Amino acid sequence: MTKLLQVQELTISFHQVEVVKNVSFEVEHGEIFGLVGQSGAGKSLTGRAIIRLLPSSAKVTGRILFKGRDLLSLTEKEMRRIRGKEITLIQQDPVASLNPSFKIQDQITDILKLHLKLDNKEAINRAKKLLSEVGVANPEKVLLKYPHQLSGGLCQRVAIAIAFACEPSLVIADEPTTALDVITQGMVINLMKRMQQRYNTSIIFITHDLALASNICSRIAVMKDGRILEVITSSKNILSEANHPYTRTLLSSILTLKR
Amino acid sequence: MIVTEKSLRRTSLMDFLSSKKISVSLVVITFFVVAGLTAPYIAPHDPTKQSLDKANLPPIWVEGGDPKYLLGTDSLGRDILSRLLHGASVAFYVSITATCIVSSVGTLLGLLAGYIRGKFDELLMRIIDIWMSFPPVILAIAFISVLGTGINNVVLAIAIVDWTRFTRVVRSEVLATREKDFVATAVTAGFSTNYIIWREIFPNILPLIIVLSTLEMGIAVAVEVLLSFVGLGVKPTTPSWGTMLSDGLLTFRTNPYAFVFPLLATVVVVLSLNLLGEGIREKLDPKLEVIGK
Repeated sequence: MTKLLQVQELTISFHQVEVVKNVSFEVEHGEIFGLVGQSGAGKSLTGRAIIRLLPSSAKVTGRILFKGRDLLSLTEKEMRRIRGKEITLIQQDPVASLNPSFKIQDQITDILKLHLKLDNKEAINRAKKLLSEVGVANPEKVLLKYPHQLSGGLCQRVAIAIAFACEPSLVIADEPTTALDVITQGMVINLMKRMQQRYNTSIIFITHDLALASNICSRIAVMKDGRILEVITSSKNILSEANHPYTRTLLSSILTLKR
Repeated sequence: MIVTEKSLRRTSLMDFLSSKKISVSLVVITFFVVAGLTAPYIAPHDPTKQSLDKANLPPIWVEGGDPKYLLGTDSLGRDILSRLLHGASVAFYVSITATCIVSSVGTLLGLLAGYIRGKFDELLMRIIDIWMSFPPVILAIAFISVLGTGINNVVLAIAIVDWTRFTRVVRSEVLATREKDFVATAVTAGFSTNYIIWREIFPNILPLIIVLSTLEMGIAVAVEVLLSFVGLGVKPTTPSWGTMLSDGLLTFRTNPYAFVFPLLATVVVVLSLNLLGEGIREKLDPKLEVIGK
């Protein structure tokens, strides 16, 4: 069986300045793959390049093979059929990632109608089911709310529900927990793991938090200055896996509680 | 997280009316609109009927006033009140139709230029740059000279002059909105450009469009008065505040009322429309800055 996603020699440049340099990695079916690095390491750009969300000023070269097809060579129309159905994105700021002018219900049902061709009633039922899957206690009520009426954690649950709505094969989670407090963070991480197992989805988990990544990912690519330094297999003893000095620096900068 | 952005859905009618700017200006505007609409029924006299023996009468509260002519008469003996009422209908007809044209053209072009960008945007912006470097009144006068006078040509001239400002402001708001995360969510959900423009961007710039349209109405009233004043607006026989002003100016020394009342009506209406726009702006988005005017 081929790999779900193969990124080969991906280079992204803005006005002749290379910000992602020759990045290659692979994501297996049903795997949570981590992209870890400081701000400016190019991890978000790499994630966004996969779903082709970069501004038109970005020059992207290399190959992004998704189920054997090169996403970079697809037309915008073909890409639209992949976005939302095969590959989706979860963003950092959960409140801002939802349209402030529409109820949650419209935002979930629109994507169901678009890709699964459900009628209104089916879509509402499916939306309710999705919301209870992501652990929303009273889906009927939440469906009728506007994003600003919900907490950040609840909005992120809704965003996760939208991302998993059409049972995609790949979810790109771009720092989905950075804007949340630690307790909500933990809940969102567990939720993503649960959803990933339920739908056997692969996730590219982008974060600056190596500890968090080692908790959820099976493999982690450490990025710095637009390059992947090493790909480590996450295990209980992540210290023994990390070879590159930069990874060790990252690891040593994880704060520990004083006893 | 503090949500400072406001949208239409979150502001109730009562919330709107609690603003003094909005409630006061709405009362004034409603008064003039109703007066204009019902002018044929409530006006005490025919606005064009001349009676030279009753010329230059002052209002009734001034000595020599005739109780039949509440606000007096002009130099041709036409009833000022009746002319003001009919003039209100001209003013609001021009301002509402011109605003409808300007706001639909401006919104459509602004949305397309701001979202699609590229050569279309580049070309449109250069055309607007050239357009806006003409003094607006001169441009309007030039168009009227070509089109000829008449109420619908005034509407057209206002639309031709003012679409640029509207387009520019809408475009800049679209440029800011398209970078928002929720637009990225819609793009990555696989929605079409059409959907994104009308469902994601348009509803979120609607508050701006409403504010701009209100201000545009004020501008249109003022421009109609100005054009009619210089004889390039409505036909000279149509009772408009602008024609009343130019007629009244001729007899200003002997009969200032024929000039003062239409001037007062114009100022009050334009002021109210600007106040209404300002009030809505404050209610909808405290951060929103209306640029270009």
